[in-house]
Amino acid sequence: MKLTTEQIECINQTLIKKGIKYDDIKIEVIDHIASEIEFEMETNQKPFLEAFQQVFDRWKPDFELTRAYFSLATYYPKLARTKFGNQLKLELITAIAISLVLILSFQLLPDSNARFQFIFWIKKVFFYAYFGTVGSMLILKFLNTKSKISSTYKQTFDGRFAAFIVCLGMVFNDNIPQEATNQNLFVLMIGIYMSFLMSTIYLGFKHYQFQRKFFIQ
Amino acid sequence: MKLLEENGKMYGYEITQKVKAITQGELNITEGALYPALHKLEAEGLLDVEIEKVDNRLRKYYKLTETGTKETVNRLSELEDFIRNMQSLVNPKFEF
Repeated sequence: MKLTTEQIECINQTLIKKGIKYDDIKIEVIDHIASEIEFEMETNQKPFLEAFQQVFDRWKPDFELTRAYFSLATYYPKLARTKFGNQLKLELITAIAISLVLILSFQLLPDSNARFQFIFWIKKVFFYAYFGTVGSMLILKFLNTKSKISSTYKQTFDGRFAAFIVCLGMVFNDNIPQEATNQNLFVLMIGIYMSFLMSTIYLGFKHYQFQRKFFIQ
Repeated sequence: MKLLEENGKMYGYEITQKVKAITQGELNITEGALYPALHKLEAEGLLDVEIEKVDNRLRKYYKLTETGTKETVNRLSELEDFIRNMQSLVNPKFEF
């Protein structure tokens, strides 16, 4: 027994109320819940509302609100939080890897002149990477505004715009390499910012990719 | 990953039912364990996603990427080694 469009919409609205508003998670949860309800209606001859209640009761722990990472006021359903968590772990690993490579390369340099040159060049690379990223972000933002599709990627991507202002000080302050008293810390920060730029482009692209797959239907 | 290797592409509910059928109901994968695992593999680039319209709703299919197919072979081999080691620990064969 297949569910009607109205019954599917009923599941959709219930999920939105429970905080599952991201389409990349919502479509698979709707499909899973609908399949379970259909099974209950077919096999155990239950009416829609009874099967609906039973299935949602079973899913209750997955919709439990849990605090978002690095936030005191934002709460996500458990299912969405784990997806944000996976993304965050991946970003942290990339940030640590890039920073380690930069720090090790910096430490292996023979004298202070070579180190100064190193800082000068990574700052130059960061300058172009920063503006390249901001340009790409604006293009992706424009491509993504054409639809109202929401995803966990878009949520994080949109949140990054404000964070980019933080990097501006490093981009425009020419005195930073000369005045940096802790050069290791500066190299480490550049490594973290570089991975931040890369992951932001990745998130925007992932949303664009998801949106395209969504619209093919 | 092995199921996806054998079946090509699968959706969440299908995976839970397949696991239940293979293990004759002994193993019941909950959604709370399945979807975080699928999302993690997707984030690692081992799984790719396809969306299709089925029965008034959208269905998200997971399939192995090229890297995912190679990684499945590695992980299965590691798992077999682990099981073999565990078996030899649980049932040691003493040689004199």
